[in-house]
Amino acid sequence: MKIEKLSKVMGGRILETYYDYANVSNLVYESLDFEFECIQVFPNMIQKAKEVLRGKQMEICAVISYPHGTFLPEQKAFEIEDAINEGATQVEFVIHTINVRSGNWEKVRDEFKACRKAAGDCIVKAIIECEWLTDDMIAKVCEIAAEEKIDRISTSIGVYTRPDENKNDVLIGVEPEDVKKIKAVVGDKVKIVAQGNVDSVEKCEALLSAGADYISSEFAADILRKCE
Amino acid sequence: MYDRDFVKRAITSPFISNLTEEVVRQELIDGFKHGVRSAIVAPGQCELINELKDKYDNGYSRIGMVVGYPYGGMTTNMKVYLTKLAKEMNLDEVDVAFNVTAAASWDFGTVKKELELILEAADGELDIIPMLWMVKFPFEIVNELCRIYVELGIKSIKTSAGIHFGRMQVEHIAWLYNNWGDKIDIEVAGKVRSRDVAEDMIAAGAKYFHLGSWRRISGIGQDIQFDFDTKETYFGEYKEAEK
Repeated sequence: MKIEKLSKVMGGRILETYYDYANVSNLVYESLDFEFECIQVFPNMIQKAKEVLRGKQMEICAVISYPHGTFLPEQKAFEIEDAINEGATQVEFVIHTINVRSGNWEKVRDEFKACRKAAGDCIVKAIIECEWLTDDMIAKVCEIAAEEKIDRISTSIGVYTRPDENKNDVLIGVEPEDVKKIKAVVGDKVKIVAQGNVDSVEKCEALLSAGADYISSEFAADILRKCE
Repeated sequence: MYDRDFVKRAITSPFISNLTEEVVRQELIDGFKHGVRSAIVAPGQCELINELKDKYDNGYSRIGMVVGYPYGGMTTNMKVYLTKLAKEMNLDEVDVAFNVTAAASWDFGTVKKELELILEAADGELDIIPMLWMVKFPFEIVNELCRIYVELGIKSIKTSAGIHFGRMQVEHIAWLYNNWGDKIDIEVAGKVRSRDVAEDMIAAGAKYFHLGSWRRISGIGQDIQFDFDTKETYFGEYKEAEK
């Protein structure tokens, strides 16, 4: 895959405990060098990212109610407005998955409405956590996202684990099948961000072929270095 | 230790994304009925915990909310907003995730300033229980965090979180107790998966345990499980290795 093609849809993310200010700076420099589509950071990293950018253009996406999403709509709206005031140009909220799993569809809709309104003209993304949802739940939540004008649906937060056959914890990653399920519902009405342990060019190709419009990865620069 | 005594040291926090409303409610009710130390919820569950406390209060179990949990990546402004919310909701405590990016950068001034603002928002009406992320940070950073917490008059700390790789070890507790045990109570969080390990931790100085498996480890029943094939959440047999 050509680097120019992948970098245009690539987001770099650092959403972990061990990242310090230097890691934020590195992410910003990598994003400029490789011309990422955006960087995804915690709200309290935005100021540092802006400082390093020194006015250069780069979309800064703040994660909201991350990682569990068990917030009320007004609480998410407050955090979105707060992140935008800090300098975020995109926001990505984790949906209230417990509501989705409980079939509280009106509450899900209220949340999407509140987040859309709070984000104003900024791009707003909803992380739907495919790993915890049945196909029907994925379909329904995607339908509501499209109706409520959510710009992008993201597949996963990428930090949950499950036990493998040896009973060791392994990270749950996004699979092309997840993307296909979302694409089947939203078509071209909502863009799809494939994220959750994407760590190779081949994985990116598979996800994009399945219908993803964007990729987001902790290994964004490493992946791009391996492109043609 | 008697099972009943262990339950009194357990803390439940049903807010992760693979739950359902019904399971959350049952988990909290059981927590009150069995008399866990605390039931901790997410910001969106404060009304529920108050409703259940009104109905099932046992005079012992405390209620609380997480603030910035677990990565501490929210802005200070958001953490203060949530702390004020917890106060308005008459909770007993907030479990606070500190600014990990600042701590990893040895910028402890920023960590401390944020906590001062959270304490100010709590206005003495809420216990502030900050995390340490012991499974991630070296002892040098943990030590600095403890120093700040003690300086600010904080009485209890939460050792880590269970969302990620890495488990709390008895050695972590021994180190913490030997260095700070005379000033702060130790609430263990971070994948404690067996009663033996938990009892060793108590012997080393731990006081309370934030556990997903509090029934099983206490010896009184089965905990919440998730079936990845059917996507169902249920109370059932534990399937993971005990380590």
